[in-house]
Amino acid sequence: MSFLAPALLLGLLATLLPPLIHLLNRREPRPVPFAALELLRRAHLRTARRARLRQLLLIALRALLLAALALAMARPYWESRVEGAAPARVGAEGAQVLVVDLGYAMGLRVRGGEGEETLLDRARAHALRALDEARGPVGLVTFGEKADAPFGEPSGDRSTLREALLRLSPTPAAGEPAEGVWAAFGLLRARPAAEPKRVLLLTSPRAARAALPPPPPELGAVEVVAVDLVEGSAAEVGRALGNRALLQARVWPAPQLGAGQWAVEAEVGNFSDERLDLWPISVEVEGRTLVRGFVSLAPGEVGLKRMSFKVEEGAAGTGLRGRVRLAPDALPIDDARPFWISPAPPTRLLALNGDPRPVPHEDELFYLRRALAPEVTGEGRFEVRAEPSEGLAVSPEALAAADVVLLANVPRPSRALGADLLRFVEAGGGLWLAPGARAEASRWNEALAPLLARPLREARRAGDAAASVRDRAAARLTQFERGHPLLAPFPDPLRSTLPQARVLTYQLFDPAPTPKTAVVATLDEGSPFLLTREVGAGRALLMGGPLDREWSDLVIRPDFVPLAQHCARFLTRRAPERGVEVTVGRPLLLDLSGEGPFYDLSPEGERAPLTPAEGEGARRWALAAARGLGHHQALDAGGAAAARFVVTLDARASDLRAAAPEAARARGAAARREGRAEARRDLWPLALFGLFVLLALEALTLSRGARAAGAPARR
Amino acid sequence: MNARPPLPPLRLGAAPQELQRVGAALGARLALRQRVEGPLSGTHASPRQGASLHFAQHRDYVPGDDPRHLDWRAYAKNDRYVVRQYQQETNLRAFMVLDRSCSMGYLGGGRVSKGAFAAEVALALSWALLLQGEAVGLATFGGGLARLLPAASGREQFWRLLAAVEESAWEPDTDAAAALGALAERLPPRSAVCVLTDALELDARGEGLTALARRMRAQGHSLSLLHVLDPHEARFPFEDLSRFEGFEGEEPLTLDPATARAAYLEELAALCDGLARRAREGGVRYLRLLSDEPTEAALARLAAGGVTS
Repeated sequence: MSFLAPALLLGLLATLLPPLIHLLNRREPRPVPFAALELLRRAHLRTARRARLRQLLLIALRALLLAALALAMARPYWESRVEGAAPARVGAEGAQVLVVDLGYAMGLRVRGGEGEETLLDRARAHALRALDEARGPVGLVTFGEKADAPFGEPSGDRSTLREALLRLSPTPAAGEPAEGVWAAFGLLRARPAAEPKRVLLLTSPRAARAALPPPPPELGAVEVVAVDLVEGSAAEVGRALGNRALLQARVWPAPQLGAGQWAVEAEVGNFSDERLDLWPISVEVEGRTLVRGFVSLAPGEVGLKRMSFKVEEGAAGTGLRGRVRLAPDALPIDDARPFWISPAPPTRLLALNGDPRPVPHEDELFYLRRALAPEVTGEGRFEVRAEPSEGLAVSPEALAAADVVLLANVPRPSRALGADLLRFVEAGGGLWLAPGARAEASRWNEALAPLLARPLREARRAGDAAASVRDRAAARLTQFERGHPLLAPFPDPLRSTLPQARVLTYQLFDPAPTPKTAVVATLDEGSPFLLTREVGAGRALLMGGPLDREWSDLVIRPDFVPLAQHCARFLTRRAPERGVEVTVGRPLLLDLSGEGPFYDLSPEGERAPLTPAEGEGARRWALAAARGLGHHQALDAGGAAAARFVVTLDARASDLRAAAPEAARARGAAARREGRAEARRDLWPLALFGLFVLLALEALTLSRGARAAGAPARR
Repeated sequence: MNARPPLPPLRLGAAPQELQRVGAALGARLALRQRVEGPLSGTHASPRQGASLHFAQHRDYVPGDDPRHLDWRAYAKNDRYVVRQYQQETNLRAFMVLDRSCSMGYLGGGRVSKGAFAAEVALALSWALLLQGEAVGLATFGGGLARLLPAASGREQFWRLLAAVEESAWEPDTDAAAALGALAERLPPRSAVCVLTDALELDARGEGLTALARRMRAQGHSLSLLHVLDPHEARFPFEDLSRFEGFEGEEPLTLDPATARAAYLEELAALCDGLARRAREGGVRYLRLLSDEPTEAALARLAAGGVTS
């Protein structure tokens, strides 16, 4: 007999209450003078014995009543489990197929007879017992990544099967029991229809929850038996199956926290009936633990844990292996998630300076250099290379070594420069155009026409042109295209210091719209000030003024620094590298530049060739199925890493709590539907019935006692 | 011998004047009843016929009868000599017999103890009888016959009765049947004896009353038994576990009243029914009184049933 709520059995202690109350009530009798004592004595002699018996009976009845109540509340049940012997006896005559789950959940350590054993150990023991007791042919199906029947149809060869069973070990896949059962049906197809058949499903409780396919009618009578690998009461089962898992780990650079900082977001699931309190979680990179934390979760809760860590400088360009780890539990495989981090290489900015000055703060690039200095940049360094330029030409080497080209007040860009820059931008480069007083609008419009968001016109002085310099009003940046990626650093641009900038002179642009352009910021006088244009694979940014203080004081506003940094990053179009993640066993497509062939290097050091993906052009390479949990690299022929990705667990199987009583009952119902007689009898209605009987008996005794006492008895 | 609960001296619950008032009211009721129902009671008939104002019956004339008693009217009608006979009126000698055993000192739920209540009833009844000119005496019994105040008429007798009541003390170890038997011998013949007792000792074996009635009848006495019970004795209203202590030196008894109540009430009913039955058989008037009754009410019930005859 087992109990659904064994803790309530503590209520049995309440049986002590009635005798205790009786004893406590036995206080010193009150002396009462009474004349008719002889009569009383005669009455007492007649009734004393019966009254005492009735009292004892009442106490016993009440104690039993409380015991029955406690028993009923603990919800006892009687379950004739499907132990190895029972199913084997049932189907010993016919053909049977052992279906063994090799999903990673089968690696769950549960307390066994001698120390700890895994669910797979138990499944193996069940399978071996069934094998011993079977008299008909026996087949074997395993399912992890996919269902597999290593020996084909059921046969009488026991020793091979036994060896195969002993060799079984869990795989990192989730395991789909329906596939396994289906494969078993396939094996049984060749058996005669009249023969009784049986499928013994040995799987984790979670998998057993899944709906199983009905046997095809042509197979005849097939009995599908799902074996309970975890025995005991519901609470015991729940405790045994308690698991904590890392479901996901995302890592991205967090420059706002400081140079070299990365943010981690780990999704942690507490798949147990117990509260998770201050469970350790840590992040390690290249074997060094960089940050430790704790998670606390309610039973069944899934929560996010955010942490940040710093990666030392000098690691840029190379991949670093990282792992988020939970403190290990009974199923350690899902307590870690791998990730790659690749600190970004510096952004190379080639600045063509059209107005170089010997006095530093008068130089055209003085403020930009400071805005991009390493001291103020977080993730992603900038390398600024400045060349004085009249706009005639730029060396191909310099262009090839640049991610972004800045035309700062360049007076007269040549057509050749324009053509070079167009090629550069179309290939994915960025162009930053900041025309100033020296820039000749006609030459700009001529040389850079495909790159300009709007053709330039003349410069305009803000405010009333007739007013004196002192009284003249300045134009201000008041309209922002919210949500534009260029403004990403500013949640609310109007609250930043950008609108405080006084723009005294600004470049007027042709109002006719150009395709693929966007106006990001506009002056209060109506003229656009920041415009972007998509050209080929690259982008061009056009400003309504130069980057010095000649026309405006924008550059001395504090928010110019993030604006400038973000403009440079925006133009390089280098998105922060998100780790490529693929679930184990699933195919993977990789964008790889360069010539093949490429190999997949698994954490175990095994190499698997990548195949060019059909119809995707030469740059996409595919891996049919990712194998081996952990950090993978795609190596080119020379052995250099062309891409990095991690292969992770399918976390769906981490929730093992299928053995909750309801699910177990549902499963029982399903099994019965398959023709299996699972006998689980709830005993608590019996206890409840006993309780009512006892209540009636108590009331009867009480009423008889009351009649004997001649007055309603008090309870 | 076990310690008894201490007994207070007998204290009447009413002033003597109040008892006189009650007695006078009883006398008036008796007189009223006499008018309504005819000459059945009130002035007390002697078993011997004689000269009197009250016609008793006709009898055939036999030689030797006083011819003055010949009923000539009857002779005129029937042509037969018949003699008129008259009921001879005598003075009634009534004796109030009070039980002075310790159990009568019990005061449970009543106004006064059973003994005091019995004394009140006896005194009021005495006053009613004295007012009618009867002679009233008093006897008390405890261990033996304690005291006998001879019957006398006249209103002064009331105060003598009162003094005798107040002088008497509680006495243990009552053998009521023996004491009353002895009393029967000492009373003048043909007395009306009114015994006020709780009868707890009188009829312990169920034979006391029958024997007593026989002895009383032999002496020509008419016996009335006023059975006085305390309301607690009659109803047994106790609840909590108690140690009951008797008045006659019995062993105390500890029990839960709730369990014994029914049986006790059965025992009590058996006692009362037995008494009533044997009283009926022995020609004894029997009346049960509860000591929480007002004296008037008790006397009214007495008058309705008739105590003296």
